[in-house]
Amino acid sequence: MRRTTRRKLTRAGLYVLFFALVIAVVAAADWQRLGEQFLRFDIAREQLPEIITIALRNTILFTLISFVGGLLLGVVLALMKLSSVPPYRWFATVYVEIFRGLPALLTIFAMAYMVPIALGIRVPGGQVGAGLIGLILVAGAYIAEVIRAGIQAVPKGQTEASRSLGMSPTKTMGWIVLPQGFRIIIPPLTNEFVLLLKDTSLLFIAGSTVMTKELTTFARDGLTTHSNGTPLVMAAMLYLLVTIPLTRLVALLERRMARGR
Amino acid sequence: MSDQGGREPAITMRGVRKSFGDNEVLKGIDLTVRPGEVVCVIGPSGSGKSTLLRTINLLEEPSAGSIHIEGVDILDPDCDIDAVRTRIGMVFQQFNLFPHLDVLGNLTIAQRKVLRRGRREAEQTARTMLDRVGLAEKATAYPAHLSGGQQQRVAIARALSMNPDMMLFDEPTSALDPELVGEVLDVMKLLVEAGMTMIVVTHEMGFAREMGDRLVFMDEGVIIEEGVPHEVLARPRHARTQAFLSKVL
Ligand SMILES: Nc1ncnc2c1ncn2[C@@H]1O[C@H](COP(=O)(O)OP(=O)(O)O)[C@@H](O)[C@H]1O
Ligand SMILES: [Mg+2]
Repeated sequence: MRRTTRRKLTRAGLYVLFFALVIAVVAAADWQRLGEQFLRFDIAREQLPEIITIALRNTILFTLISFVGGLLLGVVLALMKLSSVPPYRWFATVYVEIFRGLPALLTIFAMAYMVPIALGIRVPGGQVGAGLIGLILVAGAYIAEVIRAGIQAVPKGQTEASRSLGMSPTKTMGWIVLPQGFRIIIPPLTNEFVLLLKDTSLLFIAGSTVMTKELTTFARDGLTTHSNGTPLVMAAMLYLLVTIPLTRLVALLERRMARGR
Repeated sequence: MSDQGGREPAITMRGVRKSFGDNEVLKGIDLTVRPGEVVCVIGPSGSGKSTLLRTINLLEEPSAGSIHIEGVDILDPDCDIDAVRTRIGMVFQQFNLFPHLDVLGNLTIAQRKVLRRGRREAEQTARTMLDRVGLAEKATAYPAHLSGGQQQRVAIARALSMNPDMMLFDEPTSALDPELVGEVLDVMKLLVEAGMTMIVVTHEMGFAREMGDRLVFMDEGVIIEEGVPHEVLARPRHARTQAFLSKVL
């Protein structure tokens, strides 16, 4: 037998094995009970429209708030980390190590309960607002590292050309380096966005009211109320409804940009 | 040279030294460039030619010595180096165009952000300079869509857009395919004819002989000899110059 023939046969064998496994699992599953427990149409109807108008809306809103907040914080931290002033570098390094090292859940918890007591302040937005600050702090730490890598990926010649034209360090950073750095980091930044979208589910630890529930909290409450998994399945589909088009869109944008340059 | 009367020197370097760690790359450079003068610098790779150019606009900070640009002491801590840099155009071996901006953006960004020119004025200047380098029709192209020769001409136009008093060229044709060298040298000749003050680090001996007022030969961080280009090229006095020229000519 020729080597290519043998390779084709091996591959065909693997395909057969793979589909056999899938079919076996599908056949073995108890579809009727599964349907009763996770796909009840009447319960699904009952989740609407709140699961979208409140829960999905809140998930997206919280993601946007913590992403934008994390981005601003991340830029500042990244610039501090690359600063020539040692105390700035130390602060940024320690910050990133701490907030990347802690579980996000603990940070959110601390912001929601410990900080208001410690500082005697009331955070705008109540419990969820305080929890969001925790999420921003965590997002800032991760995004700072992404941005730092992006800035460092811009060739030194770009800075030199800009400085030689009389542009100050700040103008050079703002008009030449950061715009190029951001293009480089669009994929990892999208990744951070998706991670953050999922991490909004941790905001439940801050406690939520009817109007501040996000998807996971909403679905868990639905699960308790109906003793049925249908709300969870709906929440799962809604998450994917956001994340998959988003990542596809960014991939498209990226290809478009690669062609443009 | 300042005793010959007339205008102040464009560039005055006195005893300029530069070290990277233990490696002393410039070992006491004295160089004066008069307004309108074209100085070509040659020398083996690693002899400090780029570093010499880069100290003039302080991309590298000298370890010792003094540098005056049009009479301004640029090593004075109170000196506004960004203002001085707008007087000095620089062209790099690797072009260093801004890839995220189109040609017009490359030519207008510093005009607008540094010189505070309005959009109309900046674009008008940019188009005038593009015309000078023969690329008027490329105003809206992005650098990645240009050939190396076109990119380097845009880089020259970008520097000229600031209306500098002098230009520094660091091996402007070394990264180009041979057939593209000519178009860049032609643009530089136009600049010489227009009376621009220039320091050109180059391996193009033809350009140096034809366009240079003075030829400087550098080796191991020192100026070994300098003089009228065709004389230095035809009758180098120093053994090291002779050895270098016998290799490149
Ligand atoms: N940023 C730097 N850090 C350390 N060494 C450098 C740096 N820039 C240049 N050098 C060294 O200085 C010497 C002269 O470099 P350069 O001025 O680029 O020479 P040339 O342009 O004549 O080839 C070389 O040995 C080079 O390795
Ligand atoms: Mg060099």
